[in-house]
Amino acid sequence: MPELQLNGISKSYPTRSEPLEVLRGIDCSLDRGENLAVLGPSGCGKTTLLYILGTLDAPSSGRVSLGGVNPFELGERQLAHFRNHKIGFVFQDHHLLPQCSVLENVLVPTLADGAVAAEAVARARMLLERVGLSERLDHLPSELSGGERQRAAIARALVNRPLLLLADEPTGNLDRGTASNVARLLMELQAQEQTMLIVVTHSLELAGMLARRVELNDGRLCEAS
Amino acid sequence: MNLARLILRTAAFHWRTNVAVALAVAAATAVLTGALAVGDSMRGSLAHLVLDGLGRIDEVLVGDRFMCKELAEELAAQPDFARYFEQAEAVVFVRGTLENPRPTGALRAGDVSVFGCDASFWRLGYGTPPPQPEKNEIVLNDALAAAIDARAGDEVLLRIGSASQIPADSALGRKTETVRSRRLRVSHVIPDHGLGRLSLHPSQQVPRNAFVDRAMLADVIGQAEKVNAIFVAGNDEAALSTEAHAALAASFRPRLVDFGIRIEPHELGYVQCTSDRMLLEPVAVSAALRAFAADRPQAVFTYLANTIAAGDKQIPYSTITGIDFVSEPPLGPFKSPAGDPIAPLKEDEIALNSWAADDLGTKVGDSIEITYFEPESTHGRVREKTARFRLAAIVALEGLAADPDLTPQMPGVTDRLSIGDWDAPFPFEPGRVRKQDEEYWDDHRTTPKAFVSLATARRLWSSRFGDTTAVRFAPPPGPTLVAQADQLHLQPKDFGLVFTPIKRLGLAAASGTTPFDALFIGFSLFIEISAVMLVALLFRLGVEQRASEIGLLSAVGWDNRKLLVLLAAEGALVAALGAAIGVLIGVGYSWLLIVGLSTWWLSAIGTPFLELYVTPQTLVVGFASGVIISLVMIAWTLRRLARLPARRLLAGQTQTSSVRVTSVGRRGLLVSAALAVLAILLAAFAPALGGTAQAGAFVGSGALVLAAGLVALSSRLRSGTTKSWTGNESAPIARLATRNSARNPSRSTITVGLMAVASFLIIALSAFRLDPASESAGRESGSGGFALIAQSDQPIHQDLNSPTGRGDLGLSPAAEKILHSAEIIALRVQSGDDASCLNLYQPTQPRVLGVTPALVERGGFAWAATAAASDAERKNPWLLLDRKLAVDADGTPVIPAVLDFNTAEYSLHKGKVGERLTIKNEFAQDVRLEIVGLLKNSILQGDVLISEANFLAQFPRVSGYRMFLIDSEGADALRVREALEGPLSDFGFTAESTRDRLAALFAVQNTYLSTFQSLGGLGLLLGTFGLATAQLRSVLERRGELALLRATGFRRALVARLVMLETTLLLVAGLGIGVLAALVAVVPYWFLGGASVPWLSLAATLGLVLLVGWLAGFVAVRATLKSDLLVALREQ
Repeated sequence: MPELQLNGISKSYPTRSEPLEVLRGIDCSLDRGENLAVLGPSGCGKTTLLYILGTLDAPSSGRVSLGGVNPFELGERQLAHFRNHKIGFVFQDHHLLPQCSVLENVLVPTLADGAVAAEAVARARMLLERVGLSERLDHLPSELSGGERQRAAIARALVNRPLLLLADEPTGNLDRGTASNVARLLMELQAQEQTMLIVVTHSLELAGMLARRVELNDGRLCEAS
Repeated sequence: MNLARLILRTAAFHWRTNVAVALAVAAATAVLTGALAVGDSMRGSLAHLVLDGLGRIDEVLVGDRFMCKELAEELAAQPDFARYFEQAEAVVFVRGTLENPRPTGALRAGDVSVFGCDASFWRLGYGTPPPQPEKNEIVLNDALAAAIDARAGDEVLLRIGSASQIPADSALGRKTETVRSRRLRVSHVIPDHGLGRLSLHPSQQVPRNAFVDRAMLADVIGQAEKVNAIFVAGNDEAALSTEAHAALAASFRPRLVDFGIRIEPHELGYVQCTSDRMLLEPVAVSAALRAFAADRPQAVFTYLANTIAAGDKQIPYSTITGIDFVSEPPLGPFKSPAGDPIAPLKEDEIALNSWAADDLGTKVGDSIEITYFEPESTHGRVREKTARFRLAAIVALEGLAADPDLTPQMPGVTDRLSIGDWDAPFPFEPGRVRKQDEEYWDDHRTTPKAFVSLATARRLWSSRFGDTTAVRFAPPPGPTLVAQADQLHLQPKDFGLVFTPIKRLGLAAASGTTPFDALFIGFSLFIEISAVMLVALLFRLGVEQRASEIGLLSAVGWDNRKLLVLLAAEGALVAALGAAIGVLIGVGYSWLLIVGLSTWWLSAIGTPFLELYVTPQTLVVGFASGVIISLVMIAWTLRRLARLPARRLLAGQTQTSSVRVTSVGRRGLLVSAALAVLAILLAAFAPALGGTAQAGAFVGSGALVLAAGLVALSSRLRSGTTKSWTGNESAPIARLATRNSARNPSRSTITVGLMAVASFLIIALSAFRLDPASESAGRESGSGGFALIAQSDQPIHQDLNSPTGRGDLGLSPAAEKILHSAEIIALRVQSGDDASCLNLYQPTQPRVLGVTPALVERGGFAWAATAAASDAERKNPWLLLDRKLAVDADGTPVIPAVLDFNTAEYSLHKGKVGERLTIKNEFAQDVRLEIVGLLKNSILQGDVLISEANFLAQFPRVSGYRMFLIDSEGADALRVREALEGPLSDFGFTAESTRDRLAALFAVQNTYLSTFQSLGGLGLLLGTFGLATAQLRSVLERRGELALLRATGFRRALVARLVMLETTLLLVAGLGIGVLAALVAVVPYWFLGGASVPWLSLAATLGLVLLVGWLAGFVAVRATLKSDLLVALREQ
């Protein structure tokens, strides 16, 4: 059985007139080491799908299985723990804590379990070295460039060795050159960490770097041309 | 990196918002700490006054009985005394009037405490004492000197009551010439602290004290070498203990002479026990009968017969003895002239001595008529009565029948050489005295001329003062008089000689009638509410600013609990910092309140005695309360935030739902309507309720309207039914502003709530100001229809309603003209603590008034509640005072009592009809009073009123009247007052208009309302600050939107108008809901006349709030217009 399995995922929102259906019966699967780009026009439901995959939002119907677990059957605390250990996020906006240094920002997910283990700190340092920020460990986010911030965000997403790495327009706020560097780094790290990667993007260039591309249209997923 | 460091780092990073939250917490803490510190200051200051005034005095004994001055020395010599105390000071203590007879017009001060003291008295105080006054000198305290404008060297006139041992209310008691005067030179004026403010009844008002030489004062009142008070000073804290009090009581051993009782052997062989009050107290009679039961005790009751008549012959002014004849010597025998023993007399029989029988020419079997005064006088009027007897025997004037000592001593009468010289305290016609009467007086002095049985004598002449003039007994030879005296086992308390632990009670009373901390927490409630809401608002704004950060933590797997811990810990840190600052500000705030109470709100406490006291406990409680309250608000804010999905937080959204469903609005409106209906019902029923329930209903109905308004507003904002500004509707900018106010329903509702709550209370309470003019009009008002209320220092025994009584008091014909139509109701007074709202000390023994039948018959006064069961009682609740109540479970008699509602509720904490309170009677016994009626806003506040009959039973030694209610019946009240005050100045008679009295009493409540309103106004301003913050935050959030409006061609003025309109909408909604709530609560009272709306001050308050609110809006507008449009647009 694939590590990630989506069966008949639908999502709708209530409105004053009739429910707005954003996703209609999405089926999809992915295995360790694989990656996938999700394309589609604005408002087609890409981010909604990503948030359902990231367990930040629940589907109206359908089933998600990640590592053999349906996260939506978990309680609030177990779900948070699941998300902490199985999923990594990279957002278009880096969402680094402005009051924390780069290293601290990368360690933030490990704090969810309480104290930060020395092993976590070593991994954070390794990841930051890997993303080229070993000289910037004690810098605040405000002292970094846009690309550096996003690289720190990638390191943060990987610090807990997630099974699934989700990226929402990870290069959307970056200039072309930086975007290309960040995209390459993301791919390299995914391959290195043998994680599954799903990227939601408008960028065909970024999508082109991924092994598989799907398009979300009218709430349905189809292979992109 | 760990959680604690993250918390610290985060708190420091967001320091701007955290400082704002900390300041709001500081405000909330400061208000609480300040209120608690006002309570500390009140208790501390009251306790300080007690300690300052009493100096080293721990216990006092003040009686109406004069004891030998050596008793104090004997007390001090007792070993038990020395264990706890070191000084017992003999003092003469009386109340009097002081007059400064200036050429420009005399100045008088009544209610003066006059202390007759020796040089050692001053050791009771601390500091340097003034020189002991000489016999012709007087020392005044500042307050008294100021009252009569006297300085050292001035001559003043001291007027005090004479201390006759025979009660003035008895027929043979002196009712006129009871006031003694002495001209004295003021030697020193001492400050109003230390012994200068010595007071036997705790009060924050400065007493008027005068100090004179003890021996001189005792002489003036006719009690040379005697004292009526002993002040006891301890050596340390132990003197305040109950053990010390018990040791003192055990050490106090007055001798018989101190009780005014004598046991004397008689030359005829018997021993006689008599009292210098003429009548032996019932307790002494029982003690003597019990102690000498084996010695054939015999009670004797001798009285004055004005006339003994047989046919047309009569003998004036003779004594007549009630005695049961015995034949055994030495108490008998009584024999006829023929030497036969006299048989016991029956109820209707009389025996005359041989002199009287000869004088009247009567024989056994003849009818004898006796004329005598009724034993108790009312209003100084003695009434004659007659009784008829059959002459059963003639007693030979020899042996025991020739004993002048059957008649007790009566100064001015029994000590005179001739009857013509009598200085009789009763109506005496010397012209009636014949030659043979004087001869009888010369030969036989006070030997009775007639005898009746003891039972007959008691039936005719017994009174509340007693029914026995002597107990005679025949002791076997041997025991000494001292041993006989000891056998009596008389208890000092039975004679009113009881030590009061005055310092201990004073310190306990310093806890106050009003818990000022609770009062000021209440007064500061709206600052508190505003500050707490501000904490919530600012914390919420701060958290909202960081929504995406919180979303990120959630996204990376922080569970809700952990997130809450992180934010709550940061909140706690900020709250602790704010509370620490708040505690310091709180001390300053309490200082300001004390300045307020000593100046602007002085009427609430009467005199500026308050000093700042802050206990460590207050600081701890203030700090902890500030932190806890803030944490509760923070937790409430976070709970709402925790419900938001991470994706919304990541997007920076903090509203619970973006979907607005009309049904939410409809449900809200239904709830709101239900609340409004409940409010109206409650408001309509409130006036029918009493006391606390009524106050609860009043606040409840207002709160329900507030809730209804806020629920309606909130649901309308959430339902999204605010009208669109598109299309052709009028005022599109106003509609856009309305829509903008609905952007953040919670924030808008909190802001409106802040304004509404504060404006509700300010307006509603302003309607409850009491107006002395309206409350004193008519017989059913707080004045009872009386124009004047008067008090005298010395009791007045004459009837001020009768021309005779007025004549006896020396009122002039001119005064008679003014007074002839006035109705003057006299009340008896047993001194005690002032339990009115003018005294801040907790009363332990309130003053008791005896209500005469005249007032019961007249009726009047406004009633808050009564126990009336019949129509007559409902029509005139004073009749309830005559109800007979069953004894209490422990056998204590229960007496019906009427109190002013405010006295009962706030001073004695017994605010309901049927509740019982216990006071001590004259014999230090418990007397239970049951409240049968509560007066409303009356001039009789501070007193306990019982019927005159019950009063006399409990306080038999109180003679005369010291309080007067005067109905001028149309005459000019000022002229009535002048007509009485001048001639009665010897008695220290002072009158004030009932309107002034009510104004003084109402000033307390009205000042409390002012205090509440002033502090409520501060709260409202703080609320306005919250509004400003919320508005500023709102425009900053919408910088882009507003910039866009500018970019699309909106003029700056139009954008400004839009923002101002939003502010105005919130302001008007808040004030509107508040005003509406106040009106619903107040209108029923308004119709019933219990409330009046001060429209002018109300409009001014609301106007001020609007102005400040607009200023807040203007700050927001400025912030909007100053921002860089392009930057804002780019951020979008």
